[in-house]
Amino acid sequence: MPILVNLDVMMAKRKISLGELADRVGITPANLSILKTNKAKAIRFSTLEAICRELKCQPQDILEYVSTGGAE
Amino acid sequence: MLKINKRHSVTVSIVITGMIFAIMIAVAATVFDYPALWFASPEIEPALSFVLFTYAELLFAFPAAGCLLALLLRIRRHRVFVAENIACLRSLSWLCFAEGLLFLGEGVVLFMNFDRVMWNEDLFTVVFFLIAFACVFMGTILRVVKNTFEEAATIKDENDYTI
Repeated sequence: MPILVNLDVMMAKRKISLGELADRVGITPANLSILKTNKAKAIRFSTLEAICRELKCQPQDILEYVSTGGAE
Repeated sequence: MLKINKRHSVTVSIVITGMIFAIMIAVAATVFDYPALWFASPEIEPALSFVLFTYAELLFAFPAAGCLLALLLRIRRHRVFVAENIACLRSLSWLCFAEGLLFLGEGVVLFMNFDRVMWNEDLFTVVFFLIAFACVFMGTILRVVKNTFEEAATIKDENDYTI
């Protein structure tokens, strides 16, 4: 998938565990794990807002676009 | 109009499928005697083609009923839009088409051998053609339902992986 989620990098910088972040954001650890391991197909703005609020970062800090090599 | 509770509705469907199984077993038990009777008393000439076609139809009908039961049991466990159910619906539709082909063949054989059948052959031929049409129509409906389930499974997958 062209969009990479670098949540683990931000979580390491802020020294916060998966369970704690999930609790603060208001989603299950399982769902947060799906997001962290790039298995998610979509993310709600409300979830993205909550993650950025708790990790004190911007969306571009956790979301990265990687070109798959197709012609643009 | 009688409205059944959603939880019990699946149970009712399972019971009806069970009754269909029982009817098919009864038909099988009735038809299985004919070849033995025919070999024992060659002067008795039952419609052998009718018996053979019934065997073939039962051969497809039992797996179809099994697929239906498996589908209903998964639905009862709240596993609705899953790959196994789509495969079940696909199998059911093809089995219906196969049954339609068999009933059509049986109608054609009856029509061609009309002098060997004891009953009113014209009526039976028409009945078998109508049953064949009904089977093909049912198979088509099931294919459309399978396509719907496939789309629903995709939507569910998207929804499940939306965080």
